[in-house]
Amino acid sequence: MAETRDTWGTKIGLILAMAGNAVGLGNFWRFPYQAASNGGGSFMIPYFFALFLLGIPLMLVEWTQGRTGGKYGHGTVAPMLYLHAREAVSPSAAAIIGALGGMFAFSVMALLTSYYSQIIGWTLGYSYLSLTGAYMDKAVNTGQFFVNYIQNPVYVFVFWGIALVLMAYTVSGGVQGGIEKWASVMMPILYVFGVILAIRAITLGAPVKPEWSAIKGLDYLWEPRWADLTWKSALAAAGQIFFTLSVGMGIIQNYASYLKPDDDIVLSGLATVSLNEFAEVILGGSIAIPIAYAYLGPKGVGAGVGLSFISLPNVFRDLPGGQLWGAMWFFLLFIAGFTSAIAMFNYLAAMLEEDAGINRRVGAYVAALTFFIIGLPVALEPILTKTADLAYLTELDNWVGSYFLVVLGLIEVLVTATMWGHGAWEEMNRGAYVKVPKWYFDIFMRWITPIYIAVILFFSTLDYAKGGYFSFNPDTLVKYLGVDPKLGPWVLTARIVIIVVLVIGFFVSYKSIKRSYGEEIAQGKVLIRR
Amino acid sequence: MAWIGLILFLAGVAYGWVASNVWVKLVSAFIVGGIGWYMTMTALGMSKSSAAFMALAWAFIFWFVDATVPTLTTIDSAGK
Repeated sequence: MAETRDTWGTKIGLILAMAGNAVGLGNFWRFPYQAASNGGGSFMIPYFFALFLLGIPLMLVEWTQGRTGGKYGHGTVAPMLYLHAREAVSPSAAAIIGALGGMFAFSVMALLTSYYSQIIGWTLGYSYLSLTGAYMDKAVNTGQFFVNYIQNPVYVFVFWGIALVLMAYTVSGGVQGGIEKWASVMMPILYVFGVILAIRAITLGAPVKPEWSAIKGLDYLWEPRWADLTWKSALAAAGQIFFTLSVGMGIIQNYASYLKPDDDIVLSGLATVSLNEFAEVILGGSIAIPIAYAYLGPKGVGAGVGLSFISLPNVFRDLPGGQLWGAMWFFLLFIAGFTSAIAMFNYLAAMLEEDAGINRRVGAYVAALTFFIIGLPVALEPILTKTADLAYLTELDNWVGSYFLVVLGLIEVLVTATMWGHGAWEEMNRGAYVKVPKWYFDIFMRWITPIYIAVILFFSTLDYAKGGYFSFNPDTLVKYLGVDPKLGPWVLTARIVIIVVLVIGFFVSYKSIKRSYGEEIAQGKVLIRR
Repeated sequence: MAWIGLILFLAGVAYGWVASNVWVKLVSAFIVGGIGWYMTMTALGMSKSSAAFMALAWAFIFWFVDATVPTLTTIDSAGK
């Protein structure tokens, strides 16, 4: 299998694809409101701490796991973790660790894509509606417009369907002929659109009130409000790093598995981080907040998650050429989401290819159908209940998009850095132009990173327990989510789906390991080395 | 002052991209670029403390990009 696997064509193509994987919706809508609501400039201190202590070490660990896995013909997390874990523990124990990690990666990939692909559909729909000027009339309430959109089956299914088919088409073309080709076109467009929008945002001046200027918006974002810097904001910064770099999902490993055995992973990993941070801090921090502040003032900035779909459309209709700016903004979000989601598509396609023998061309469309089925409740909830609380999506995101990533990140770093140790350090540095210093690996990657993640996990678990997240009572669930009480069954359904997917993920992962390494698990010693 | 700052920022970041020495990249992108951006933002009316934080973060990111992406492209075109 290893001989027939696709590989990346060029390093720059790989980096653009990896940057596309990491740069997602979180860079442009999540980062600005997270930073603004958690201390502005002072949020950046724990943010950069988390980047150095969590983001970069985890990125390097994931690239290492991916390259090792690719050498053995694997594109999924379970066998990759097994290969690293068996260097420290018995093959049977390594198989359990691999299956646990694979279970979380499978769940994140399957469940996150089910709602992420719908948000991508919304961005595509809003690009179209911006161009046609659908919300440009000042009589239109943009909050109600968004509610109407998610309750309209035609809009929801048409644009979600287009997004799913486009993603399947891209992935069906293979790594070099599909993903790399599309990323090489889409990522430069994303950066160009981002730069144009950022320049437009910063130069807006003060169109509504003298005290509401774009520069004041940046002031609001970057002002070091030390009183707002709390333990909670430090946790938010760490969570943002996980989310923005796409670590703890298994998709970095999947892309890295298409590397050649001696390809540089250290510099490639660092370049991916740098391009992601450019998209997040430089571009993501300079578009939504200055625009919203200039037109809507401090209250507009505080719109949180509604900033992109509800607040900014208000602004675009006041802006000269607003239809075009609106279309450009939503298309930028579409590209950001699309290039990340194809990585999740590719994970499932690789799984189907390696474990079920389904060829990639068919596998990509099977993946689309799977994500469509799993994502149906997300689309149907607002349509059938005529609500806009998105309880099913929120519940999935609470666990998959916020909690499982951290758990998988902890397993990954413990297996590769802490357990395997110096063998992993040597493997990481093989073929590297710039090597990871041994002291950095020993102090940070082996100890500080896992302790840091464990602390985050402990306090997140505590928060979840206090908030009633572990309850199975529908009344408690709707209360902690703050949604319409009639949505209790939807929250409960989401929870059941999560558990079912976790169980399937564990068995699929264990089976995948056993299929390739059953003999060495039975004999209790390593037999296969490449 | 805003224009002088902007020119300093752009020149620092651009030279950081083409320079091959990592220390030259650091001085050019991080220090010159950072000072330039601070000058621009304070001239545009941003408070000094906000501008300083923003310039520090931006300078770091631009240096990080300058130090990694062009080097990787060079390795790629050299056929490594």
